Amino acid sequence: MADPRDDAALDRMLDGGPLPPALAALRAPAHPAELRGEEAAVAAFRAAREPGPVATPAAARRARIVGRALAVKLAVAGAVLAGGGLAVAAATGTLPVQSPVRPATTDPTGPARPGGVVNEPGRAPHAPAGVTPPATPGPTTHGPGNGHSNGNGNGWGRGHGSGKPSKDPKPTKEPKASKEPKGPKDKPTVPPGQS
Amino acid sequence: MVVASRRPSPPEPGDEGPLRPAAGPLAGVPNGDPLAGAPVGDPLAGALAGDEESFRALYRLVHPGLLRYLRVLVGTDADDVASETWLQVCRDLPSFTGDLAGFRAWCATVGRHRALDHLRRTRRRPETVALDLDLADRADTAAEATDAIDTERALALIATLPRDQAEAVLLRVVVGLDAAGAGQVLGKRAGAVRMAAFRGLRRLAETLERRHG
Repeated sequence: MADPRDDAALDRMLDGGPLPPALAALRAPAHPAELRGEEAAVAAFRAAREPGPVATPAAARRARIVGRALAVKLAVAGAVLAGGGLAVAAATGTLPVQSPVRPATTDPTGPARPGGVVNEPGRAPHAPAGVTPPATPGPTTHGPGNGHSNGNGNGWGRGHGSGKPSKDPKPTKEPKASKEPKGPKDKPTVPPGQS
Repeated sequence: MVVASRRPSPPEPGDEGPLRPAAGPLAGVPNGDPLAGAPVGDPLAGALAGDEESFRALYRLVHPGLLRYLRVLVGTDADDVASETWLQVCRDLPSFTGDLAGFRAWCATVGRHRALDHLRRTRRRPETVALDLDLADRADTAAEATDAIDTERALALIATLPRDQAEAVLLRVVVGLDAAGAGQVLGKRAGAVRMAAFRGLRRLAETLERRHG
């Protein structure tokens, strides 16, 4: 045999060529003791092949994991939509669910106080059309999901509830924010004059 | 020979696959070239089709090399880790696609993960472990014991290497993977595995030379 430290010899050794005698037994045939797990492995194979309850757990577990992931995604989507609804409402000055209703009503207060329309007593009859349904689909379709307590599938439930409070403070805040946009965010404790 | 090569045209009969466990206890196990694609005599295809005897043949092809690899990783716990490995392999077998070389690599990957989990559980650092002559103790005859001792000694030599070198050598020489397959198992590039295997073999050659000289 060539010098085992020669690259070509090493290559041959790795590719199935002759090993140094001390290492040759690495490729020795299996010893009986090495195969004593065979029956257990065959039993595992048999069990995994059985169409009954043994074969299904893996699939069931996979389905469960997928289901759980889906539920989590739905919950997150619901929460995002709820937040998004709020943002849309804030940006457009209107609550999107109400839009099909609005043209029919000639209430002048609607456009004037967009954030407050939902909670006005006079508007109450319209609200159930868009607001109440979310209460039922949530629990029935995604029973145990905790993530649905706020966002309820259609995403608007939350927006309606908090529409007014979030809208009202804004006009009062905005003038301040335009003066020193970063002031309240960065360091409210240190006014510019103090430093 | 029993172990078919993953290379399209083996240049010589002796070069058809590093692991040839079938010569002894496996003589007579029906199998053939998995690349031929014939279900008869192809243990992998048979096992994937659900045939128990094919799986048994596949086990005998793959397990010895896998077990020897695991012995260097986890020592005498290798049997337990190998059992866990086969449980997982059997469970996930329906989702496996690939040839025999891919199957060996998959088994080695599963086995390696089980071994590292085991080391984590037992709070041992993932290093190569010193081996006892456990296999020899379990041999039935003196001849078997001698063979087993030879294998144990060789594995004990490998276990003296740094782990990356030991794993590279074992995956190439004992498990029978090519550099790309071994790299897949170890999460390294083929070139890095090749270098590690080279260094390991060179180091062993020097060790042996020092012992004899």
